[in-house]
Amino acid sequence: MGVERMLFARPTEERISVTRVPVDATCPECGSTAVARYPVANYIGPRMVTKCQDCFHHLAVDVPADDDHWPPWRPATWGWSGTRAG
Amino acid sequence: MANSDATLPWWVGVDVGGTFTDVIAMHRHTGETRDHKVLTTRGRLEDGVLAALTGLDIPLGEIAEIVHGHTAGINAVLSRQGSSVALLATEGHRDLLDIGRMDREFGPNFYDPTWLRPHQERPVARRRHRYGIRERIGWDGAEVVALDEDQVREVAGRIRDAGIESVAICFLNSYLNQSHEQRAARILREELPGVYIQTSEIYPVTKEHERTVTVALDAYVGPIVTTYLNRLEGALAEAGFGGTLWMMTMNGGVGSVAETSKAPVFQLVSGPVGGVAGSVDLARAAGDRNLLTMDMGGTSTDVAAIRDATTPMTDTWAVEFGLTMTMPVVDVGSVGSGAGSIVHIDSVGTLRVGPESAGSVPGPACYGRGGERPTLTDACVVLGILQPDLFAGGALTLDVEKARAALKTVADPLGMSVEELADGAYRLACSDVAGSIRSISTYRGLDLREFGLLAFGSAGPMIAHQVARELGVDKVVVPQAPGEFSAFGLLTSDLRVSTARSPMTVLSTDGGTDWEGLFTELEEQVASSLGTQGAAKEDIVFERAIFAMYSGQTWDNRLDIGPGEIDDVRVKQLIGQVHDFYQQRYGFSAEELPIIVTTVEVTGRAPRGTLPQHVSHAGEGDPVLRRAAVRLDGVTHESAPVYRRELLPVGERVPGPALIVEDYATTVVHAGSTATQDAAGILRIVTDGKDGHSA
Amino acid sequence: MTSTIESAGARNAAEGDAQHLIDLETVRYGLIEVARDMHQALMRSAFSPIVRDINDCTAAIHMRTENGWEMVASWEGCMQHAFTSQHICNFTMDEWDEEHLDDGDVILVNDPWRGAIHCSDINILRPVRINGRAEFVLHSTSHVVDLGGPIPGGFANGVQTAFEEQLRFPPTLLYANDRPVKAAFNYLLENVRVPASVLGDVRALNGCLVIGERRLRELIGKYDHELVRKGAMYGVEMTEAAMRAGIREIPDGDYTAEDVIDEDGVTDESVPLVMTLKKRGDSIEVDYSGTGRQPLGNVGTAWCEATRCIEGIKFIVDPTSAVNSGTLRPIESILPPGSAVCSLPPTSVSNHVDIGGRIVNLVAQAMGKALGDKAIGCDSGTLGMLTLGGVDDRPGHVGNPWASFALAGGGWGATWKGDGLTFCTLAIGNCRTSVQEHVERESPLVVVQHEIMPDSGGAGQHRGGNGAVYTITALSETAITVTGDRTRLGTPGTKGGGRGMPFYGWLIPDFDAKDPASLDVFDLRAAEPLFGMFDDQGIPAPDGGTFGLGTKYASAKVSGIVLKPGQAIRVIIGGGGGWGDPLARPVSDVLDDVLDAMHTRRYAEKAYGVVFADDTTIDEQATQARRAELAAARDAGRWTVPTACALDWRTA
Repeated sequence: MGVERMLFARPTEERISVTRVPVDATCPECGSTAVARYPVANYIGPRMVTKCQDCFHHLAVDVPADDDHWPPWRPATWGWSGTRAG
Repeated sequence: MANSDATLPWWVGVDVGGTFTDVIAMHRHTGETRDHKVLTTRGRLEDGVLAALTGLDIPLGEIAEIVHGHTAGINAVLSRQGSSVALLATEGHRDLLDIGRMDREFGPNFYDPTWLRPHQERPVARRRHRYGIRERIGWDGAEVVALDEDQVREVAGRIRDAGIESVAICFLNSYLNQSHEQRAARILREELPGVYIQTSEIYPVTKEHERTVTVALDAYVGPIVTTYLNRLEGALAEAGFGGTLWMMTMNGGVGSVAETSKAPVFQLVSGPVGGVAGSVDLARAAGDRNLLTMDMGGTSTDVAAIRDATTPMTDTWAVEFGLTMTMPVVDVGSVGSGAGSIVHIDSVGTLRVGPESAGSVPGPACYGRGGERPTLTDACVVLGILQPDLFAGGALTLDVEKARAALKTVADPLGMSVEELADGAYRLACSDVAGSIRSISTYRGLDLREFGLLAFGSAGPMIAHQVARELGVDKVVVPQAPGEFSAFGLLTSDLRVSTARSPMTVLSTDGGTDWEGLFTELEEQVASSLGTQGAAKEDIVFERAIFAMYSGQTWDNRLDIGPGEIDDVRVKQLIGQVHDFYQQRYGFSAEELPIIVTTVEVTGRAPRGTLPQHVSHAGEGDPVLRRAAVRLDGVTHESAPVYRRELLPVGERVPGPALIVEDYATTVVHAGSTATQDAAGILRIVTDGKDGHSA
Repeated sequence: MTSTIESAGARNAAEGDAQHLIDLETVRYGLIEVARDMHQALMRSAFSPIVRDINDCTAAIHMRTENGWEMVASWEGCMQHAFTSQHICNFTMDEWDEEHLDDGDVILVNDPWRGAIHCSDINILRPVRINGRAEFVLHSTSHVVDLGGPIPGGFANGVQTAFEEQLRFPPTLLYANDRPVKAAFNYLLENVRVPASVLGDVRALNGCLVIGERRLRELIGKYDHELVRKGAMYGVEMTEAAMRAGIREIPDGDYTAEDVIDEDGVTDESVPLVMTLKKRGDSIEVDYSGTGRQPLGNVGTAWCEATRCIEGIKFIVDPTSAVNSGTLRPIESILPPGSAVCSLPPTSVSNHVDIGGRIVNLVAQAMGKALGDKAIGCDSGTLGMLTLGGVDDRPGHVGNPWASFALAGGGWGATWKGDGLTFCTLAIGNCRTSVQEHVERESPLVVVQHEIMPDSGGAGQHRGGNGAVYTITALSETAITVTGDRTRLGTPGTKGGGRGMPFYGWLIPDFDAKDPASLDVFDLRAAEPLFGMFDDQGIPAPDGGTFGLGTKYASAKVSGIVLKPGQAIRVIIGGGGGWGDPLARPVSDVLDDVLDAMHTRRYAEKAYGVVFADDTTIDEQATQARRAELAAARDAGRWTVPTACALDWRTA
């Protein structure tokens, strides 16, 4: 909580990629075991999805938890209660 | 009219449409009317006109005035069969026609990567014939670069070599200073006798794209229209006509051939004009001064909003996307809902009515002419709104089974009964028309509670009451013979001449602009033009309007300002009017900002004379012809009364649900409202409990 | 590509009797009408030339659903906004404490890390409460002419951090119970260069939401809340079904394309962009993995590419349905944090237009691999935009600060159907031209030239749409920022079509309107090159020239160009990519192109293999022979379709 997710350095790697973390599960739609969990932006916003890579069936769609770091940035006032003025 | 022989008894209106040439005639003393219809003779429109007139059985020598609307111009534009056109533009700006306003057409084409702006696909003036002329007028009207007259002569040579028929000249900022255009025109007339030449003088207002389109389209259709009119005048004279020929113009009125031939493009679309003219007339005469109008034909419905019995005007009109003209034009919207609109399932899988239409051939399925797709007319037959034996004065019996069969082809995939689909299609069509009416009224700051709904066209009255209920309007007005209302409107149209200037100055009392002087000058010009067309000065009524916006904006708004000298008091009042308008229309006003008047517009109108009131007398007998099953709002009324309008006594109350049928139209009255016909033969449907009084 | 949905879809979506289907359809359309009315009000009453002329604004209606906030209707001005609106709404409403919301509250937000496109596009959100809870959020957005920061106009080309860009508002209460919050207004207006224009735009933005709430409540009053909800969801589901049906037509697979942003305005390193479009069944993932790390300069974007890529997909799978949440539902984006499409704070992100355009080009290229004949050429890929501003010193206007944008339009790619569209801004836009006659009154600018640029559309069996040449002078001192890309390589064609002309710019230090040569775009004697690919004679040479040779700048992302009275700036925005083999373009079409000066004769000979007998006639036999030669040379690797660019320039 606080300001540690507000400022970031530029990455040193030349190219950046997202890792899809394999998950031990079987797709209920097509039976494939190629299931992975990774961060996406879906139609609502940032989400962590667990999807079959063969047919894209969603086994789970979760609002990111703190340690998913998705998106990396977060306002310092996250979780503070509001007022009439915001 | 000074040049109209008052002894000749007949006035005639001729409307040359895409498919039919219609004529309607009225005897000025007896009020007798006649009408006739022939197929339009494309390529030689005058042949159809003469044939239609002959069909009236009136010697042409007895016709005092003919009012004429035609589609020669718009056909030429839409089919791209106008004259070859060269455009002279300011150097560096010869592609305005291709640029349009550089945006894409909203709707199904918006995200289509294959879409092309219409002028790029089918140019009116090809790029090879568009010439950039060395000249420049500045933002203040001063000359920045002199006109290169040698270059103009050189260009004239190229135009001559290419055999081009018509030239449009439109330079930047010419609305402030026409000298360059006029000199260029003079040189071209010397060099190219017989070539049609047009400049911004036809409507010298700001907005360079729109003005260029106007001038270019006039060059495109000018020769065709003027040639056609020459031939028509000749043919009429040969056939014994010695009266006055009036041309319908898009500003809602008529003008002499001589005057209107100065700007033939302003005759481009005459269709909606008669309807608006007739509606304004009715608003004045009948005291229903605030009217929303809907004119439903076979393919589309034209809508307009008439405030205080004044012709609604605007100053732009889109011929096609990316080709918008600036001109004085009646403010009419159009929606693709007509009697022949096809009820179908669109590509997204939802139910739609129109814009595709079955036309009159094959026409609705119930016509029995081979049409198999269901239309709005078929839906109305199934609902019982259109009584099969009473249609078109009995000339055509509607085939209910064919209507049902056609509707079934759409009802089945949707899992509906034929009745449910008919209900739904009817409601959707009414909803579409209501939406179109909202866009020309509420979305422009008008309060619908102050308005009645005037319905005409033969199909208008069959949906009008439902449309009114959708809009929250408590009064529906249906004139006599609604199918002929536009044609009569045409017949009785006033002479109208409009002109405008773009002062582009601040509306204030600081004395910077002599507003009254400016309007007076325009009124004198207009009066002079009307005078040459035979109007007496004391008969002329002026309509004044300003186009205003806040300093820093670019979308100006047209406001009628009414008569009355524009002194300081009036200016302050107008300023307040603009602020109020903004608050209502846009949800805010900016009282600390100066208001810019971009354009001032004056229209002068003069009546051509009067015609007897078109009155029918109620015939003898029980006005209720029978009772029939009619389905309204999803409920079948097993024995709704079916009235014959011709037998309906003045003042007799007809409570809904009911049908009021006449030869070429049916009026639907829903429950909760009552219809009465007045002595002038006008039917009004008023929601029970509302007094139906508007304005 | 269009496909017909099973009509059962509509019926099933309707869930109820037939009357109900009509009700839903009426509501669906009614909501679009509300959005239309909002947009019309906004566009017609705005002050910034960006909005009122250029149409860089959009209105949208979002509804609370079990999933979050979903857009149920929108009306585009600028195309991109319809796609990004939903995330902007969700980020803000997620963060705002709804317990304190009241009627007439309006929230301002423009933070790119909360979904906004860039700070200049300010968003205001107006929750509409029913029975004490926000059920709808109305959104209006437009690009305001200046929002503070060191560089007027907001395209802070050359800076590295967001602190040097414009005012950035996290969700901020702008109106409380319909009354302006003075602190927010003061902060905004006291920190911008043209407060009158910004205040006018904010009022217009809010006014349109006031209108929108009025109309929405009328609709709800008429049909009742439950039915409106159902009608809204019906509209979303119909659009979703149409998108999915179109997606299903694409073969399953992974399709990768790579493209580039020329440089970032700070270094001359190009920024590589990679997109892998993965299609399975009826859904798509757009994976940007492999994209270059966020640049130093301001050309990276923070979040908006999550949804903006969907526009490129829509062009191909479902051009005709109304845009709403259903358009977004079948597609998920994978944004690598720290890459150019997911740049991390506090990096600068004010120039979103190049990546935005490039992403749409990438979709076209990636999907082209799946589509065969239905592949399309790319659009110009750059706005080629000028931001202008200064203080007027014309008599009667002395001391007036003014600001403006100039968008000359490029070309769109050719397609299987025909040539590309000429004079149109990038797909993410839909920007209109200004009324020049108004611009000239209000600011000391004179547009002396805005015409089709010959030889700018990519060669092909179907020619790419041509771009524009745009020359502008100023009557008083003017500061200019140029924001452009595709200066090193023109935009690609497809199926053998050639590249469009790249972006070029010149300064004309001594512009004489009376000199006939001053508007001859091919006469470079009085012009000083600012950026572009040139040979050592100073002639534009996209194939074989050197970027930056003899030019003042090493980039087209430049701010601080000063135009003194009597000087002019000229830019050429290239056209779209070609489609198909230019050697197969019908000879009569090539002749028409030359007679209409869409192509010059010499370029036509070079790229299309035609042989002219004289200036107005083509020798068909000689052409056939020449084309055969060139085809053989191409097969042997000795000839490629030349990038669109004229060959006849005068430098001495």
